[in-house]
Order: sequence, then C-alpha cells, then structure tokens
Amino acid sequence: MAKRYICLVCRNEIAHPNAECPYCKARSVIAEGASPRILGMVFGVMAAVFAVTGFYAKSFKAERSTRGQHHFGVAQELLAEGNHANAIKEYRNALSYAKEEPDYRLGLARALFEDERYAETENHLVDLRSQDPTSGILNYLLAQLAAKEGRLDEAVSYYRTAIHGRWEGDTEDRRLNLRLELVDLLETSGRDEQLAAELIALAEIMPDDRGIQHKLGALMLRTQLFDRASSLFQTLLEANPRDHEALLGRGEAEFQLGNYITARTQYNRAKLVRDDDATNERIALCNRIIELDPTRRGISLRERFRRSRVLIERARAATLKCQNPSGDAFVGPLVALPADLASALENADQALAGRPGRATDETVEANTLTAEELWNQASPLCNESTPLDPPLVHVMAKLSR
Amino acid sequence: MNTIREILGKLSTMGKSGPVLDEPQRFLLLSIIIGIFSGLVVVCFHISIELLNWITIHSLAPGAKYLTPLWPAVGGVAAYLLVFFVVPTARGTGVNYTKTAVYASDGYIPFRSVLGKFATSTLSIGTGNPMGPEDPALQMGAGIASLLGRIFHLTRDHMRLIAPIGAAAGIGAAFNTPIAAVLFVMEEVMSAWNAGVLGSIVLSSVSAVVVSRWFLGDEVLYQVPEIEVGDYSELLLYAAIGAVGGWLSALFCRYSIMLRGRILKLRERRRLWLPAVAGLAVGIVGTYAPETLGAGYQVIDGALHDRFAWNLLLVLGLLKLLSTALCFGCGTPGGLFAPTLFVGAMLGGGLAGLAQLVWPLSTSSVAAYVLVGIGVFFAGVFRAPMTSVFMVFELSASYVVILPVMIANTIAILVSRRLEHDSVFQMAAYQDGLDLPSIEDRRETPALNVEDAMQRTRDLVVSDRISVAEALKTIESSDADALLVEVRYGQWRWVGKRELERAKDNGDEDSSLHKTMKMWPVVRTYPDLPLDQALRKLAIYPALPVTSRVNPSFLLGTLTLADVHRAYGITRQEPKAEASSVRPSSA
Repeated sequence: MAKRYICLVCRNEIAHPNAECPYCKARSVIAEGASPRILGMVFGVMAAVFAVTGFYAKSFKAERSTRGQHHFGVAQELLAEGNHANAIKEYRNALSYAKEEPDYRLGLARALFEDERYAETENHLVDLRSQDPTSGILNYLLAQLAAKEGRLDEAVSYYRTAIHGRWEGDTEDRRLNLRLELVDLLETSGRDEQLAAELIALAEIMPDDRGIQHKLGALMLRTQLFDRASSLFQTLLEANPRDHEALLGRGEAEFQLGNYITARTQYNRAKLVRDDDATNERIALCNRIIELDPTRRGISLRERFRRSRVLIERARAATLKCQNPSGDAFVGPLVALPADLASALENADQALAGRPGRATDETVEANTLTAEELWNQASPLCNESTPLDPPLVHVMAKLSR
Repeated sequence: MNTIREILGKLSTMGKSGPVLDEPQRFLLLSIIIGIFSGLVVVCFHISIELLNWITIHSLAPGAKYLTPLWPAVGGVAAYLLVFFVVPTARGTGVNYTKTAVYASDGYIPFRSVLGKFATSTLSIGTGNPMGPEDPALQMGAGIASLLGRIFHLTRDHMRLIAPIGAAAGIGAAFNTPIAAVLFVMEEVMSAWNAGVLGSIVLSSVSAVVVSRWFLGDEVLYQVPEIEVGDYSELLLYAAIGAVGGWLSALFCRYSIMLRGRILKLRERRRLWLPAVAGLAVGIVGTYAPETLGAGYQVIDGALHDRFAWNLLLVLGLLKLLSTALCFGCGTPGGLFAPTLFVGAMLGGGLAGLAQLVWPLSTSSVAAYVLVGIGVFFAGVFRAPMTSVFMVFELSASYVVILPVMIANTIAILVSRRLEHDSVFQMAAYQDGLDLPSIEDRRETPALNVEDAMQRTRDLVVSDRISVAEALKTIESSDADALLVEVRYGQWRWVGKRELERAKDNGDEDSSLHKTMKMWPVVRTYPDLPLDQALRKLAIYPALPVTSRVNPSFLLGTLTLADVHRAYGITRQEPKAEASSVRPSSA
C-alpha cells in the first residue's frame, strides 16, 4: 500500500509529511497515515521482544529461585545448629534473590529473634503479618517478641490471634500449647481476670497430661474458679484416688465453696496419704467451722439454737475487738459509734440478755440474722492488723452466700 | 491475517469519513507502544545487571574477598572503553542527553545510544560500581521513543514531545513508581508543566510499569514496614534532617561537579583509566563495607527494617557519598538516582538514631526517618520537590509520612539552593557546554499577562456618535493605528486610522462615525490571560478591549501591539495621551 499523508485539520491528502498543508496552511497537525506495514512491523518486533524478554525473565527467575533456595537451606541448617549470626547472613543472601519470599523472611525473623535483635525482627514480622494477618506462626512470634519486651497487652492480643490463626500440620496440639503459654504469661504477669478467661477456655479442651491438669487446677483455685477446680481435681482423683495434690486441691475448692464437710473429708484422705501440719491445720479449721455453723443439717433444734447464740457472742466480741484493736477498756459511749453499728450491737445485747428463751426455728433464725447484721456492720472496721476469728469469718461468709 | 491487516489499516489510514484515530489519539497509542517497548528493554536491563552482579560480586568465594576491588575496576574501565571507542553517544547523564534532544535536536536520539547505555551501564553497575540504573533507563526510554517517532514520521513538534514520553516510561519501569516517573520527567526533563503531553507521559509510564511488573513481579524496591510518626514536636527533628540533608546535597553537587570538571580538563586518553581507579577505590571500600557496592536497594531495605546501628548508617552513607562522587567525577557510566536514595536513607536513619540518643522521647519508627532522608537528599540534589514527595509516597504507600517529608524536603531544597544555585544536572550541563532550561529558571522569569501591558484608560475608546474629525484627532494623539468604537454598552468595533483619513479626504469630516464608517467586530480579552494569547488576537485585530471576567461588558482598558512592545521593553516610548481614569461606559 502506498504511503498517504493527510492533513488532520482539513483531511486533504498532501505530498510530504513535514510540508505545510497547501489547503489550510496548518503545519503542526500534519501527520502521516502510517501504513499497516509499518504498524504491523512494529507490533511484530514488539511480539519478538516480548518473547525474548519472557524467556530471559523466566531463566532469570529460575536461577534466582535456585540460588535463593540454596541459601535458604544452608540458613535453616545453621539456625538448627544454633549458629545464628551465619544463619542471618544466609537468610539475607536468600532474600537478596527473592525479597518477597515469605518463608525466607520468616526464617530471617526467627534467626534475628534468636540472636536477640528484636527491633529488626519485629519489623520483618509486622511486614509479613500485614500480608497474612491470620498466620498462626507470625502472630505467635510477634507474641513472643512482645512478651520479651514487656508489652503484655500486645503479647496477649497476638497470642489470641495465633491461637485462632491458621496453622499447618498438628493444629490442635499447637493451639493447646499456645493456650498453655498464654496461661503461663498471664500467671507470671499477675493478670488474674484474663487468666480466668483463658482457664475457662482451656477447661473445654483439657489436655490428658496430669501434670498440666494439676497446674491448671491450682491456677483455677488462684483465680477463684472453685467449681471448675473441684471438678478437675475430682477427675484426677477418679483416676488416682491417692493423688495427694488432687485431694488437697479438691479440699481447698470445696472449702472455698463452703462445703466444709466435703473439704474435711478430702483433707482427711490427704492426711492418710501424707500427714503434714498444713493439712492438720486445715482439718482443725474445718472442724471449728462445722461446729459453729448453725445451718448445718442433721443437728437438733436445740443445738442450732445454741450455736446461733454463740454466733452472736463471737460476732459481738469480734466487733468490739475491731472497734478497739488495742484491747483497752471500752471507754467511748455507744452513741459515738455509727448509728447502724450501735443499733446492731444493741440488738445483739438484747438477744443475749437474760436467760435463753425457747429454741424454735424462729428464734434460731432471728439470732442468726442478728449475728449477721452485726457482722455486716462491724466487718468494715476490721482490718488486717486485727486478728479475726477464722471460723466466724467462714461461717458468716457461708451465711451471706 | 486479512482481519489483522484490516484492523491495522483502520488504525492507520483514513476511511471515507476520515481517520479512525485522530492525531491526539494516535499519539496516545504511540505512547502506549513506547511504554511497552521501554518496559521490555528495562526489564532486560535489570536482569542483565542482576545476572552480572551474581556472576561477579556474589559468586566470590568467602576466601576470595580480596578480589572484590577488581570487579568494579574492570567493569568501570570496560564500560568507559566502550563509551570511548564504540558508543560515544552513551556518555554523560541521561537526563541531560534527553533534554538536549528535546531542546536542541528536535527529539532525535540515536538508537545506538540506547544500546550503548544498556551495555555500559550493565557493565558498570553489574560489577558493583555505586551507580543507579534509573538514569540510563530514562535515556533508553527516550531513545526508543525517538526511534519509534522516526519510524512513524512524526512531525517536529511531536518529535520534541516524544523523548520525554519515553523517558517517563524508562524511569517508571526502572523504579517501579509510575507517578514519580511522570513528575520527574515534568520537573527535570521538560522543566515545565505541559498539560498537553501529560496524558501521553502518564500512559507510557503506566504501560512500562505494567510490563515491568508482568515480568519481574509486583515486588517493590523496598519492603517498607509499618510506619509510625510520633508527636508533632518531632517535626523539628525532621526539619533538622532536611537542613542537614540540604547542606550535604549541596556539598555533594559542588565537589562531585568540581572533580568532574578537573577530570574533563585532562586529555581524553588519560581519562580512560580513571574509571578503573575509581572502581578500585570503590572495590576496596566494598571489601570492608559491601553494602556500598552496586545500586544498594537491599541496604535501604535493611535500613528501613532497623538492621543497622545509627553510627553504621552514617558511615555507610558517607562512604557511598564519596564513592559515588568519585565514580560520577571519573565518568563511570550509571545514574545518580539510586545512590542519592541510598545516601538519603542512611542519613535519615543515622540522624534519627543520633537524635534519639539526645532526645529519647522520639517515638517515630526508624523507617519514617529513613523515608524522609530519601526524599530530602533526592530533593537537594535534583531540586525536584514534587517528585521527591510523591516518590516517598509511592514507596511507602502510606500517607502518614507525607507531612514530615514535605517539611523536610522543602527545607532541604531551600538550604541546598542557598548554597548551590543549580541542580547537579544543570551544573553538569554547563560543564558540558550546554545551556538547558530548568524549571527553576522558568519560575524565576514569570510569563507576562495582559494586565502587565494593557492601558488602563479609555483613550482609544470613542462613541460611534462622534465625527470623523474628532475620531482622527483622538487617534493622532496616540501611537495606535485603530480606535475602538463603542456601538452599544459592552459592544465594541474597531476602525482604522487609514479609513478615517480616507473618509476625511472624501469630505465626510463632520459626519458621525456610525453614518459614515464601516466598523469591524473585535473580540474581548481579559487581564489574566498570557500576553502570548493576546498577541495571537492582535495579529487579527489592531486593538483589543480588556474587560472584567465577572462583567464582560465592563471595560477595564485597552491593548494594542504597541502596549505589548512596551511591556516586553521593545520600545521605551510612553503613551502620548494623558492617562485618564476609566469610567463605566454609559448605555
């Protein structure tokens, strides 16, 4: 096809591409109607260059990948041997061939972490996490890093994401181990509320390991999950009834739940396995509480009535002791006491004045209420320096429950 | 086959109703083709540099590190010999070469220079010389564009525009930052904001980046970690980095150009071995600090990830600065783009570390300072403020760091400009005997507008009710050849002096204008329009009414060719008439 030159203003055919258009005098807008041959040639060359570049790039990538994998392999071996510095070099070499390869970067981050270069480790991990936020391993490493640097809130958050994150292989075991690590972290950092939440979650997937179960039971006691602790220790005792630690643990859980008779039973069994002072003290305390408790089933009405009066007496004594811890003679007039406390003391005095009346359910109930009322008013006055009456404290706690 | 031929035919030739693609569309299509070609060539260039780097520096056995200095020396001298004996057009900086093509040789860049740049820069950078591939890529893109322009027989005007389009494609593909590439070409190569060619530049840059990513993957040059910018009081620290960066960039420009000047004075044969000497020095430094070898992208990546202590960062930055200045001065092929970023990154990170010792309250991440440093040194050396800001924006993909970058870059440019008036490219151009325009020069000589030339009087405006004699008297008291006749409120026509004289000769001296004279319509102009536009109108009309944009019927003054001449200082003659205040014309 012959070349044709066209003025794009008036669209007349003209003789030469750089000439002025003889019709409209336009100059700058004159262009050649490029022949299909030229255009085809250009596209042909483009396709050829495309193919050559593609081949070149493919070979380059293959070589790059081979080199990267070689260095990565060496780095993994060095890291396993504990040669962190050289492992880091090799990981960097691997990354120089494929800087977006996440495994290489993760390996580098691990090596840097082992080498205690935390700032750079974190940068790499945060980078990787931004590309894969649900990765279990990345969140786990970040959690470890944050824990090492004392950023506990971040660490807990990363641990939780790691627990629910994506793992390859033995997923359940990993999640369990992570929960246990998180529990350890929360325990050592004294975050009991968060610890309790984790323990509740862990109770659902309790591991078979008895050592771990013992530890979790103890942590449940610490975080006041007494019901769950009792069940856990019960499970342990079903497998081994002479498990001293489990007997003590269950005893403590039941004690805290106000089941003093069950607690005493567990302590007594523990004593049979191993007799020690602490267990004996616990048994004695249980006995004193049981003897004071007017609500205990199976005792006569008369005994209940007697106990209710003893309860008032001991509550009154404790109140006066807390009000005047030095033990000096009580000199102040009653009117100086808070009005409610003064009224409660007066009620107690009235209940104890004269001969004891007839033992009825109503009088037992009334005495118990008087003692409770007095204790409620007095207990805020008592502080740590005032030695209290432990059986009274426990019985009152049980009554309030 | 026939279908393809038909499509090509439709694309290129006219049908019954004219061409399928008009000239601007064809120009845009050509921009895409240029982008694709440039992208392909830059991908090959990138791969070649990497491969050579693996073969040379990376393949040295741990016990053979003493061989490190040899490679940059061999690469440098081989590249220089190639320039000297085979491709002299591959000499110098790509930016200046492209600018020369735009402003002095109608966009002509020999394709041989593309091949030469490819080979020499691969040899130089691939063997560890501390230069960057972006500037050669820019020249390669421009060369490819020029070749395609010649193949398509573009007109001279379009040929001039085609080189920057290719330059944007080259730099975009090399640096993987399409926006920064566009801005860099606008600021450095075209030295002007040309809206007419912007679309083509964007298209070519984007298509080149797409091709580059197609083959090399979406990998960005640096993996920028999450950035935090702390308290706003830290802006002071960023400003300080800007000031130090500006000062250092001015020193770099001054001494590297000084060294280059001294070397250029040597006899050509003596200069042959200087790249070898520079390469040897670079290699010796590289034996102890291998981070300084090559373009150094990975080292910047390391700095972004807090890999180096602050003192090491400063040492690396200083070593790179010296080795780059040495290589640039000695004529080692390669660009300054990458080393500038390297030095800036090290400077930013190092100064941040140093500042944190004395100001421990600083809470920004190191990556933020490294990025600011990159922008600062780049802005100081190249004086491309927009590019420096958007480049950091593109690199970090984060808006967080923009404010510190803008502050620091502005300060860097001010400080650098205070110490050295010209950018490194301009200084190199002067040294090579070229006087190329820069965007700063253009800013210093603002264009004149109509308001700078217009007469704010009504001396040339008359009513159509006056007589021919009165009109003649008015025109003779001025230096104009025509009068504006107000025929109605807000409507003017013009009448020439010669026509008035003819009417007088015909005895119509006392007749009013509207009865006697044939008057010609005239177009308005506005005070804010460039004088260039007004001049085009003055080629047709001898006088123009200058009106308000908010009320185009309200006359603000008049403009004649004599006024324009006066504004440009061509005539110093003052208007003859006494200036009288402009009154709103009555209906």
